[in-house]
Amino acid sequence: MLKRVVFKSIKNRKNRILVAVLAVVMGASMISILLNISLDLNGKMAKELRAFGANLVILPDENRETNWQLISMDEVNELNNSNISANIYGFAPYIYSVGKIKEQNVVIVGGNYENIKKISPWWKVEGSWNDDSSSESTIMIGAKVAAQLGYRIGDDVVLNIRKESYKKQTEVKDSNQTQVDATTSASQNANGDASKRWPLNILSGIDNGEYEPKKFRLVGIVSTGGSEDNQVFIKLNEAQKLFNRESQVNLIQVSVLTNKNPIDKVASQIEKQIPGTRARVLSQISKAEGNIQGKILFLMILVTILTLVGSGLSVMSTMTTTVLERRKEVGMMKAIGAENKKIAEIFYLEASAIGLAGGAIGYILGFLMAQVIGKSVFNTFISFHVTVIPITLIITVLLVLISSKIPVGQAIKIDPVVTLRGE
Amino acid sequence: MDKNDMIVTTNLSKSYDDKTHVLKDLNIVIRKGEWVNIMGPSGSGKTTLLNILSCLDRPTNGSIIINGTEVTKLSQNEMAKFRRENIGLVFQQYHLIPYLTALENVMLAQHFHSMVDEEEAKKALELVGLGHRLEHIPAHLSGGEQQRVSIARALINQPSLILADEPTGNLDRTNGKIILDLFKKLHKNGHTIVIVTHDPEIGMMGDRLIKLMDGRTVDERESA
Repeated sequence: MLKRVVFKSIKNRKNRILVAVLAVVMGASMISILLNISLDLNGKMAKELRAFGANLVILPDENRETNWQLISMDEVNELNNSNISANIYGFAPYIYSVGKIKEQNVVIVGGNYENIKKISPWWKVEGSWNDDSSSESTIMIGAKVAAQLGYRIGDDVVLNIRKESYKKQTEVKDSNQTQVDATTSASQNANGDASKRWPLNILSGIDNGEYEPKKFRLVGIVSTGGSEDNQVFIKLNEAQKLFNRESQVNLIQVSVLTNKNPIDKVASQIEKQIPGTRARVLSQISKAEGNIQGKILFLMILVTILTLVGSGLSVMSTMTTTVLERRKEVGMMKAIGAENKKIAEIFYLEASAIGLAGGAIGYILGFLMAQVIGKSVFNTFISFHVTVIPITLIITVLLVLISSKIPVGQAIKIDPVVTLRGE
Repeated sequence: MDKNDMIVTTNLSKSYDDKTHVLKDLNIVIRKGEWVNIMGPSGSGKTTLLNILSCLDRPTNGSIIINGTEVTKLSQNEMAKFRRENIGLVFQQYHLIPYLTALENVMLAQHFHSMVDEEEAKKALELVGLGHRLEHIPAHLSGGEQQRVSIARALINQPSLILADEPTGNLDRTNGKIILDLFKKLHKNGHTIVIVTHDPEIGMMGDRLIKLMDGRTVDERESA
């Protein structure tokens, strides 16, 4: 009977109820947008922010027991371990050496280009990237090197690689420090700071060594606005063989997702997982990311709260008008024996129906709007999170019930003696 | 108090402030199965008396015992419970819920009382001659028909006492007669009926007439 009364009452005043439902739709859609996006935001934002480049560098520890301050490929592969991989967006191992092209000293970088593409998306490559899987000896060279030496894509490049390219521990220690600086500088260059270049001290004193020529086909010219413009890039496997450092790398640049765990925690995890390494956080980048995510979430929560307050006030106003309009009806119900709780039940049930209808429509609208936002901001759709449905409905129903508390209190106070005599 | 008494008021008074004394020391006894009409000019306190007898209002002083219960001592919710279990109310303006059908208006009283029984509600409407108007909303019923729905609603929970405030006040003669015939039928079936009215014709009906003036009983006699 109660349901019938509520249903017919709503049907009888559908225009007024529609206003209340629309107010709830506004609030519910904001909740739905907030929840749908924020559940995806951390992940999507973290990935989006990964365009800033690596925020962590893994280096061999100074006290490493091995004679060579290098990281083995087995150790690199530890990053694929499930303990760590969930927190990592991507990583790229690098090996460095020096060489000459047409008598000009150059830094030779051995890298895995599929990985570099992912963690350093700002690299601009004219032509094509080195194909990691191909057996052909290809090379990419920095824009400045290409300009100085007059190379064009498709040219053969003879790279003179130092025959004895490994160094003793003390020497490597120095050069590793330089490499860290270079990596940091590369990351900073992504932000436009091109002042720090690959320091030339790594190149000093190498002219006296023996060089072995190796021919490569030039496939791409790299421009980053950073130190990469002065470097040349060959495939990691090939570099390892040519540098006589098979299955070894100097460092790993890692792009850590900061949405799940703080980057410092991930750094410690990495150090535990790969003993003998030091995971150095590039804190400027990671702090900036944290700030951006926090601010966006705060802004969204603020807008949602304000919308909910607006919706609540609108519902309260509608319910108050409804109670005023139905004073006689309430008086009559009381006269024929309805207790206060039965009267409250009718209004709360009506409010819940408004909340559910508004919540359901709002959820759908919010989900669709979240897709539009996701597509335009993150260039990807927001995933469907089933938990958002009950949360949205519960919040909206609670909102409507709380907003109805004062009007229902007024209904309960209605004196049948007064209303039934028409005052 | 006699066990045959339905209503006993003792020194019943109602005042809204120190100056406005609407009822003054009323002592009334209405027996079970009796039909009593209350008449009096406007402002004599008859509607206030009916409100107090209906347990919608409380007296300032004095006591009222209805069907053996001292109602002035009941809480708000106990009064509501007492009302739905013992009293059937008929209003001059019918006070039906406009968006519910005749049948649903009757069933609503069942809902507040206990359980809804659609068949019982239909029977009550058939009893007042509205078996063919079950699914009509009040706006599609004549005044007389709406009042009959109101009577069916008052009767549905089998109250021991029926209180009516100007039940024919808004009706034409023909419809008024139908309503009064219904009251006669209810009286014949043993219901205790108290009607507040201006209508001298109704005053002539029933068992007894109580006349009020300025909140006091000025005349009380058996009907002709």
